[in-house]
Amino acid sequence: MWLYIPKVNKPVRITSLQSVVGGVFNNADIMQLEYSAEYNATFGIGTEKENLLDLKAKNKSVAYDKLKMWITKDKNILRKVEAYSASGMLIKTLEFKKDKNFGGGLIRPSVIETYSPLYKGYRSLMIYQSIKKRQFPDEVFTLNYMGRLGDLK
Amino acid sequence: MSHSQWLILFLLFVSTGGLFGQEEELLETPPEQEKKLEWSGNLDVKYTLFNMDQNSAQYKLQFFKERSSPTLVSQYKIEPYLNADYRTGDLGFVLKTHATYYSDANAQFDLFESYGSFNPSLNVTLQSGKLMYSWGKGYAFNPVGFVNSVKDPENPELAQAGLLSANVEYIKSFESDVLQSFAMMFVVIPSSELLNSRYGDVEKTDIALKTYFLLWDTDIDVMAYYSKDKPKRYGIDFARNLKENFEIHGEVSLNLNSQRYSIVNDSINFSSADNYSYLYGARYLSETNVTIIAEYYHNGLGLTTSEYQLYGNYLQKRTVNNNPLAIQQALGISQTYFRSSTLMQDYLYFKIIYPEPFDMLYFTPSLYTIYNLADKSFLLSLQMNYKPVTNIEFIFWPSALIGGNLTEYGSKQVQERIELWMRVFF
Repeated sequence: MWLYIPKVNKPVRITSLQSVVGGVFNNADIMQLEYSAEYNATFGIGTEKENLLDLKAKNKSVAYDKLKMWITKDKNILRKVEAYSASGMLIKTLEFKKDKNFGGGLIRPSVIETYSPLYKGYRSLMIYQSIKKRQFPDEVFTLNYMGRLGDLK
Repeated sequence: MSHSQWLILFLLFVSTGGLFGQEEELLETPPEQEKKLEWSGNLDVKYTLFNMDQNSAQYKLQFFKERSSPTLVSQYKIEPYLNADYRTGDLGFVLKTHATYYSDANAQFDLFESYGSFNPSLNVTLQSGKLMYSWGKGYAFNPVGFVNSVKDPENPELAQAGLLSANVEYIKSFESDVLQSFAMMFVVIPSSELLNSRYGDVEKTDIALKTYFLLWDTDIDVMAYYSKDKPKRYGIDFARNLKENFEIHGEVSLNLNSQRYSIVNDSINFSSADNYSYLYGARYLSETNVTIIAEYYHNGLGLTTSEYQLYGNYLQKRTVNNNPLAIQQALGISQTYFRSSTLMQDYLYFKIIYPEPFDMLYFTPSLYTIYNLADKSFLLSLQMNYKPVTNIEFIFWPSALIGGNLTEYGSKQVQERIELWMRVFF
């Protein structure tokens, strides 16, 4: 994972544990992770409207050792994620709220709220105003392209 | 290969950018490209208090014309940065300007960057104008920064002036566990020694090349710099994560026939030799979000301890009789040949950054040192950043330079300084 700050003009290697935007979010929370690549999942005891998935990290390089995910039964929309350390301590909770139709058949939560017992009294929110579908070749996701990512807006 | 053959090769490389573009037309392009002009910038207002070392030769040279030479001096300056970024389709234009204002009689304007870019495809970029490069993986020093601006190790992230040049870059991604990404950049640098202030000798056009590999999850660059009248240089750098939160990096450059300056028999001496400069470093992130950066830097052209002492003695002797001619000569030699912030050979850089300690919101202190391993002198600095609201930043920044009279940091004209910055961004 690399971070590029235009003012500095140089990509720097960072970790998914780091928070580059500040607040309670870290990089792993912001990125769209492919959970199946990093976790093994089993069904837990859900509710009438929601399924519960228990995820266990495949290796130690993953941001969180265990995750609990609540997913709606009707539309398979993610509602809540609880992230735990290897010792079983709750690190943070992410809630996915305010479903919005972003067009093109995409209906998904527009607000992600996170809070943590490690940062009592603080909450961080990410609000998605719009989502634009784009298709890029793999070269866009390389280190040398980072200086030009702003051109893709 | 002659210069004209290299230039023909460059032009061929540029012209085949269209061919590379045609084979990668997978992108859906919208029917109408948005034209976009964005302005940004910041205003830095800086107030600094200096505690001067009146016994320092550098101080005596700098202040010999002044009637009063106080120990405690202040400096107040304003530095506006104004940037423009224009993008339409495959074309772009970037402008970055900077000014320094001390008084109406003492102000300076800098054009940091001004360049146009063209992307015939997403794999290929052509850029031409004055632009900044950031070669190398080091944080405070870059031995392989052949085309980089001179970096201030005390503030490595500060914007710097670019290089008048043209470049073409090609990027290619692979689906492989071994080689995942490849890039190549070819840079042409016209002669900086101008004739009649406008013309350059074509034979003195320099060429630089950098190739990048993401190999087994390791960033590796190999670079070369070719010049007819400057030292030829070759380098390699790498960066890799050993653990999720622990990164290592390194650079090494071979500089052929480099010019080296020293004081011999009380006068400036020129010599040339091949030399290596290199850097090893690491970055660690703790569970409490503390970042630690450590780097060792060897400057192959640097002075030894005894050579630095000879230089220091040379300056001191020139200040003894207050002879204006001797002082001017010494000042000229110091500013022409001994301007670098790292004059000697071996340095250790160490920095700790601790965002929001003890729940102190928006406050980030960092402590760093640059330690001269040969003469044991060092600079110690504590930078305290406070960003209470978006787009505004306050910095309180005390620093001390410690060492004996004939050591690098001990002989500087400033012993301590305290800086107060206010930065407003837009």
